[in-house]
Amino acid sequence: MIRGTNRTPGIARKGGACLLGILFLFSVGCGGGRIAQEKGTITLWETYNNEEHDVFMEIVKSFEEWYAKERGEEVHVRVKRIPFDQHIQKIKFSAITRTAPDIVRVDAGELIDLVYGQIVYDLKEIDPKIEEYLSTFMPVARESVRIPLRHPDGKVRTGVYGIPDQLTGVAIYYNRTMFKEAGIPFPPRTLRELRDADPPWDFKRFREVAKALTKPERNQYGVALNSSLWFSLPFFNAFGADFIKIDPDGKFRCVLDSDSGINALTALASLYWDGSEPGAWLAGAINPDRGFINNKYAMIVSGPWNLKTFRKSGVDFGVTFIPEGPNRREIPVPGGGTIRVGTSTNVGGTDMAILKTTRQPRLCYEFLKYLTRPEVHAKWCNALGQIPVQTLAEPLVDFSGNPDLKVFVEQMRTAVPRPKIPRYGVLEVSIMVPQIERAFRARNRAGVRLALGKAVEEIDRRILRDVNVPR
Amino acid sequence: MMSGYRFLRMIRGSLLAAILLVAAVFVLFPFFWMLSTSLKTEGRGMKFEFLPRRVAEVGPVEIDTAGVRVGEIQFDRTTVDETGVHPALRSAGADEVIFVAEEAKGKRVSGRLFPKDTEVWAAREALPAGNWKITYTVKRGWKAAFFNLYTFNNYRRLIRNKSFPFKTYLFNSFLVSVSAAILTVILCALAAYVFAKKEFPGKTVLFWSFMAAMMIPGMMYMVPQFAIVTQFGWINTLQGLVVPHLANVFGLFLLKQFMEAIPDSLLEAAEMDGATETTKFLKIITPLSMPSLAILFLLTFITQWNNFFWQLIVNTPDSPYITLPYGIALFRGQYETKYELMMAASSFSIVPIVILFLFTQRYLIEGLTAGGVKE
Repeated sequence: MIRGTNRTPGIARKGGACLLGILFLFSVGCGGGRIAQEKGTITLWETYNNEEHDVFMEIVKSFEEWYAKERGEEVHVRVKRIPFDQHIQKIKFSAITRTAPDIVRVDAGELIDLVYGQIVYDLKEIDPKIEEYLSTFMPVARESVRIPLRHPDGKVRTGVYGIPDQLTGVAIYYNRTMFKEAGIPFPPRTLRELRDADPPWDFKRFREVAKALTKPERNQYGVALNSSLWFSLPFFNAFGADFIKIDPDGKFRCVLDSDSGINALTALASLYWDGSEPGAWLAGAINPDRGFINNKYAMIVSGPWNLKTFRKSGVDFGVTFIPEGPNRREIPVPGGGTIRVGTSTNVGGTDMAILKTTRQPRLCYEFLKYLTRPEVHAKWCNALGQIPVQTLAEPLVDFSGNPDLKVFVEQMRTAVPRPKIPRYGVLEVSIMVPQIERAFRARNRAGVRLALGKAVEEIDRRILRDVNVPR
Repeated sequence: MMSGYRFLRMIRGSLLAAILLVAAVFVLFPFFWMLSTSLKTEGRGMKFEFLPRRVAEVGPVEIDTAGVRVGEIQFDRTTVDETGVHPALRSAGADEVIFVAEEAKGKRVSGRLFPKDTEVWAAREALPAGNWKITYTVKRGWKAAFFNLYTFNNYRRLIRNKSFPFKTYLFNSFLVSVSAAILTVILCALAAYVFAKKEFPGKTVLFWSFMAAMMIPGMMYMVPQFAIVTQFGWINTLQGLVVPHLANVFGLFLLKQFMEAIPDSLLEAAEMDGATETTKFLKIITPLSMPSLAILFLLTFITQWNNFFWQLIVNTPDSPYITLPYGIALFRGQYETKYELMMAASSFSIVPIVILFLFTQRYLIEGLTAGGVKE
């Protein structure tokens, strides 16, 4: 006690000095706050990774030079990085405090939240011919920015709330060594090969292959699944299951518990029931990506973002299509004509949206149009190995060094847009993941039906009730 | 001869040691994983690979020697092209690289590659035109094998990356955490002293009202706190990051319980010697509460050090006060995560906490055991 008391003056002095220091910092730290909007300067918040950021900065520089040359005016695009985690919350909070930028790059599924929050421009207000401009975009990319809203008159009108800047979707990665060891021929790599495949690369074949590749004694499994809605959508699409229907009175209704929806989820869950899927979706399990790299899973559902990582890890892999379901459709292919196949995929990626707080919507729009000019977009895709959103850029993209990406590009032609409803985080995390896992655990079709019924009920109650309020 | 009792004690001790060892490995595994991942070469972070391998097999990769690339490797007629070489073959320090090429018609060619430069290995002879599947066997010495798996590059890239001002983020995190911890301790200590040693009307009601506030989830405070910070114009400021977290009810409760155990007779004696309230607080209460103050300091420091969401919303990307959790989150993209870099940044980020623990562990142990001994 005495020892402590003797040291008190020293502690008090040091504590006082610290306190004074902090108060000083607080006094000089005042200020900050709103983002100044200078004429000719626009601010953009993006969530790119380091490599993408570097390429993006080159494009921004080329835009500034092009604008000065073409329009005789100096413009400046201030690019700022924000973390992808919670980026929508960040944008919403900044809109409240009027510290929001002019343009934001947002996840395609979450753009809808900003639209319902009425903080982004309907680009039809800036350019009435925007639909014409978007006509050369990949249809599913175009659809990611065309969002229907229920208006006070009960009618549903579709606005254009951004320009797509990145497009992605999933296909099947397979371990070639495991296929070879099991004597199974590699699955198709082009839509034509898929159409002509014998035996067909359909769900029945996928299930057989997964079983043949499963060797529990070697801790090797045929397939690993993710229990999220986004990763399950390709299968729902391939089975022809609709997610949302709009009634004649303009009301949104979830119809995922249709027979097609139940068939799709039953087919997916049957992989787990067969033992070909080890439960990679369970908490604490080795996730699909990690298991694939470590030669534990023979097939996984994943996207082009993993091409580089898998290549660097040294795993011997190939990419093929999502197995065909009963929903066979005519898919247009470059050079004219169509191919009838039953494969499909989901749609992910990002869009660039102009916030209503901007004072320079036209300049923002010019910049977004510049980003998606064929030659500029091709530069982006070539540098980063990405799927073009602008079809006019496709002939300028060199796939020869990245043949697996070509499979993804072909798979994207079969994609179906994801449900255009807000609160995607709630839909995914709080509603669909628990119900998909419930269906997996059910081990019978009746359980799958119950899980989907519960999901639909929750979607109607927690999301669509709000969507059906006229805006 | 060892007696049966001693033998049993020895067995029991060994068993206990073994259990503790297993528990320690279990507890420390995430730390080991973080550290080893931060030291791995790019793309290896997710592999269950911890021991270097001297002999590694790469491939097979498909190549078309007629000039059309089938796989990601380009193997023209005389040499492996540097732009298309398989990453495993780009390894410095390999002693020998053997290739076996098989053609679809059954033709088989094998041979040794030679080091084209310090990193890239190339074929001396051309392969006849056709589609080939090539498997490489790379042999390395222990040192080269080690550096093929592990590297310090992630740390270098982190510190030298111009678009990632790591040192600024680190300093800001330290500034915010230390400021919040010091001010929280001061504020809570003053309040706890009053609640523990003073009497005033409504004291019990007020105290339990504060306690009730502890039951409300933290996220509920987020919106009103954010509204206040915005009204004060504290976006992008140090105050905005620190002040909303200072009124810490848990801290008040912790310190009050500790201060109540300090005998009132000590304060009465001080009063009789003419001590003022300030003197009593600074010379009696503060030194005797040092273990609990240290615990509160540490808890607040750690909470603020790891606080991501508040620091995300109060800082715009222009802010000079962007902190480490915000910076580390930049390595996590929409679909992919740069595990090696993220773990390198995380390894750095735990250093201050470890140092703080080392300096405050005496107080922590005192604080944790304070209630354990009855006089």
